[in-house]
Amino acid sequence: MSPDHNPTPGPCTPMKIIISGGFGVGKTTMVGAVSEIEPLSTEERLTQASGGLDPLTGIEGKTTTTVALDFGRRTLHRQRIELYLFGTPGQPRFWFLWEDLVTDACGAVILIDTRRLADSFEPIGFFEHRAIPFIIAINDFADDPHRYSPDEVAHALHLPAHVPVVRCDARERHSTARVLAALITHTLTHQHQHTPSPSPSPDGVPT
Amino acid sequence: MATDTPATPATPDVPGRDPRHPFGGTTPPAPRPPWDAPWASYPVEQVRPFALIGGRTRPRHPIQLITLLSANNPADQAADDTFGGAPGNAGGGAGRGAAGDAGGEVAAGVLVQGRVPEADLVVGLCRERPRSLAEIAARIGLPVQAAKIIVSDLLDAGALVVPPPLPEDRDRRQLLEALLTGLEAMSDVA
Repeated sequence: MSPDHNPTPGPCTPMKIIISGGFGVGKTTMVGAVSEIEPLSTEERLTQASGGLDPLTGIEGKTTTTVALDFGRRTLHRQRIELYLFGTPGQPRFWFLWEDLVTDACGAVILIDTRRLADSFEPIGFFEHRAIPFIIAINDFADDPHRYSPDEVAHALHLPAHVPVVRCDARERHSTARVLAALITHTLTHQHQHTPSPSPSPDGVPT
Repeated sequence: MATDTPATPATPDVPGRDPRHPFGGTTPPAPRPPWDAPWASYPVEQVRPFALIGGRTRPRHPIQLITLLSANNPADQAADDTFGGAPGNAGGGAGRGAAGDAGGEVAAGVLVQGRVPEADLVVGLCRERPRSLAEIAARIGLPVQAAKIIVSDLLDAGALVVPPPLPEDRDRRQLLEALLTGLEAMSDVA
């Protein structure tokens, strides 16, 4: 909803970031925090059919579940980039619904609620297996009596040492932007460190 | 079948239909009609998506979630308002155009499986600006795979086009660096 500074809608290159994590952890909120359009989704009420699959332990206040893709867009005019954010349910076994979801993704943020850490096991395994760069973002819930440090969380999740763990408030745009920046920094240092970029050519002159 | 008169009103007239939240979202789901009501009077969102696309599951075009789609020659079609009005069908076409949904004309009668209101919606959305498949699916309230089929039909019919890829002189790393710059700027603003 925030019109950006540059009014000329020049051609932009699309890029893609995935926001994953367990049920009710705030993925939709995070997508909405940076999206310039109202986040779109096909959120449906939690039905009895998913009763045994989407446990509500600890988050009884939540009555709906995202069973489909959340989607947001942010245009970075100055950089000529259109950033697409996809919020996905924490169970990669359902991701076949969007077969190209992870193709060419810049990386993934796995959003976690420290009360329900186990929700992140599946996506962590998925992204590790596919060598897609990811970071962990602890969504700080105000009513959470226990605050764990990023180190404690990293230890509990048996994360490889290079995977960053950050805290955030998924409702907040700057906080979310910092998380995404941390992800891209991680992607740049760990996905591209072994592939030397071609010798830099002067701007605008393709080799 | 080929030239079905658009006697039925376009989608915006379907009661209870909100294109932004067809499946719910913040809008509560429409109440189910009584059990003895005819199936056709059920709210649109209770029609199974794959009924709309004739049970097909494979699009003929490789379309991805972030593939952008544009309406074909929007200027031409806006000028030629009765384009879709096949001979003998001009009256209906003009009526629909007056209803402010000129996108419908393009798709009229050319879809193999018959025109569905969602196809009109898609063309209308893509006329406003290029839209990604993901956005189209969310806005018409269909699963991505179902939206893909409709979009694929519209590409076949020439109502939509995939704009040619931009001449991009940045490699992957440079794109990531640019993205990082943009995100850092966003996180710094007070």
